[in-house]
Amino acid sequence: MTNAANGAESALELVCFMLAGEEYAVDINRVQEVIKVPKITPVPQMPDFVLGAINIRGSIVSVFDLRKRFNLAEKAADAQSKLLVLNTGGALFAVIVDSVRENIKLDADAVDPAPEVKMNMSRACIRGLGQLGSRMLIILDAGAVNESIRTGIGLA
Amino acid sequence: MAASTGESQVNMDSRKLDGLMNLSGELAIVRARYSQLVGALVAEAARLKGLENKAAQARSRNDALSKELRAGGVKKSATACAEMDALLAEIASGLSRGDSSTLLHSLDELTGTLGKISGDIQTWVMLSRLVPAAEMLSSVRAQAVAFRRDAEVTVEDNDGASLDKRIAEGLSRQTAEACIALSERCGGKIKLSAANRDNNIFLDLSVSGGDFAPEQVVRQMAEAGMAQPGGNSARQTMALLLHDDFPAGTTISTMSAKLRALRDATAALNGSVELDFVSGAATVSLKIPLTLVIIQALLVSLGGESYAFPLSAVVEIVKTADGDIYSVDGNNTIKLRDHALSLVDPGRIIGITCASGEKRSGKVVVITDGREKIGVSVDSLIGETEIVIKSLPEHFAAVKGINGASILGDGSVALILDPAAIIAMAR
Repeated sequence: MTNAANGAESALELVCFMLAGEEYAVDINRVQEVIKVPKITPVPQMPDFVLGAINIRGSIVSVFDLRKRFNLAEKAADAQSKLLVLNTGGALFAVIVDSVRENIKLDADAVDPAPEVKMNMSRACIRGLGQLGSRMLIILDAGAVNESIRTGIGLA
Repeated sequence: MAASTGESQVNMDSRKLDGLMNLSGELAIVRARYSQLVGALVAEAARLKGLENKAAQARSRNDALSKELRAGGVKKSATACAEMDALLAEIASGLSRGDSSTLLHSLDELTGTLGKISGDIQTWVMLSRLVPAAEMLSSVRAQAVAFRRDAEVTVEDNDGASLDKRIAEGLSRQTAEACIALSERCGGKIKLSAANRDNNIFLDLSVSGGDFAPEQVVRQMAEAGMAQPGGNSARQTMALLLHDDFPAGTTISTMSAKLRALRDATAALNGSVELDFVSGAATVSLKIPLTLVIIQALLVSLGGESYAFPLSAVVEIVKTADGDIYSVDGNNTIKLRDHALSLVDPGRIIGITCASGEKRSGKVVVITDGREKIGVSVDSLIGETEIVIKSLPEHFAAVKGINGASILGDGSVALILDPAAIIAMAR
C-alpha cells in the first residue's frame, strides 16, 4: 500500500483524529471527506456499533462507532465530533471520531510496526505507529477497519 | 467484495448522455428565468415599499387636516385636502399598476416547466441505469451450464433489450435455479430470450427435449390427494406448479419450489410469471415493469423514524381500538369486515421499537404480497409521496424486512420496508 515509487520521497499523507483520548491517523487517499455529524437513521437488526445510514449527496452510506466496535470508553457525540467518510475502493462508509486534527506528512522511516503489546484497537486494523515530534499516531488501515466491521456484523 | 465494487460502473449510451446534457441546458435556462423573476419581484417589493411611504405621508397629512378643520382654518384645509387627494390618487394608481399577478403567473408557469424537466431527468436517469438484457441472460446461462453440463443453453437474439440493474441483480439467481430445475424434468434444451415492450421487460425461458408432459402435474397432485381446480388447458395445468401447497417429495416438487421462488422474486419487483407448455417445451414468461427506480410510497412513523411502504403493496389503512384486537394462538388478530387479519408488531418482526400501551395509535397499514394480507401497526401516518429507491450499502445486506432506502425532502434517510419479506417473516 505504501507509495514507494518515489524512493526518498516516500512520505505518507495522513489525516489525524482523536478517539477516546488517543491520536489516530489514516491515509488521506482513503478519506473521501470529513463532515459534521448529520441525523443518522438507525438500521434494525444490527449490532450496537452500527449507528445507521446517512445520505451523502444521494448515496446511502453506513456509519459506525469505532469506540463501540473496539470496546473503548463510550462517549456521546458533541460539537467536536465529526464523521470521517472512508473509501477503501470497495466500500464507502463513515466512522464517528471525537475530533479531526490537521493533515500531516510523515516520512515512512518514522513509522514503526504495531507493537506486540495488547492495544485497544484490534491489531489487524493498525498499519503502524507513527512518531511526529512528541506525538504518537496510531495509523489505521481503512481496508482492515472495514473487514473488522464486516466481521462484527457477521458478514465475513 | 465483488458486490460492492461491481456496482459502481455502468456503461452509458452517448445518446442518454446527450439527453441529460440537453436537460441540464434547459435547467440552466429555467434558472436564469428564475433569477430574472426574482429581480422583478425585488423591484416590485421596492415599489410597494414606496407606496407604503406615500400612504404614511397621507396619514400624517390627514391628521394635520383634522387638526386644521377643528381649528377652523378653512383655506389651509382646502390646500391640505388637495394634497391628500393627490397622494391618494398616486397610491391608487400605484396599486393598480402593480403587476404582482403577472409575476405570480410567470412564476407558476416556470414552476410547471421545472416540473417537466425534473420528470424528464428522472426518465433519462432511469434509462441510464438500464443494462443490456443479454448480460443477465449470459449469466443465467453460465449458472445453468455449471450445474448441468449436458444442458444446451441458447441465448436468443434479444433485439438489444435492456433492463434495470435492480432487475438483473434481483432475478438472475432465481431464474438460473428455475432453469436448472426445469431442465431436470423437461429436458436439456434451454432457450432464453428477452424483449422490451410498453415499458416492461419480458424474459422468456423455454425448456424442451425431455418426456415431461403437463398431465404429470395433475397426476402427482392427485396422488398426493390434492384436488386441482381449474380447466384442462396446458396453461391452466402448468399454473398448478405455482400452487403454494404443491406436494413435496414428488419428481416435480423441486421444479415447483424453484418456480415459486422465481415468482416471489418477480413479485418483489412488481412483476408477474406465467407458465405454459407449447409443442413439447415448458415455457416461463416473466413480465416486469422497467420503471423501478421511482415509486409511490406511504411514509409512516415507527419508533420516531420514517419508513416507507411501497404503495403498490398497501391495501388499506384501518384504525383499530384495543377492543378490536383478539389473541389467536398467541398472535394478535383483528377482525376486518368479518375476516380475521393477523397483526404484526414491527418491533417483534423487524426489530423497530414502536410506541406501546397507552401511546399506541391504533393505526394499521394492511399490506399484501399479492396473495396474503397482513396488518402492520404503525405509530403514525406521514403521507403518500414519490420516492427514489436507493440500494443499501453492502453492510446492511443481511437486514430482513428492509430492501432499500430513500432520501426524504430534508436530506435524511428513510428505510423502505419489504412487504413480501415482512409477510414471510410473520408466518
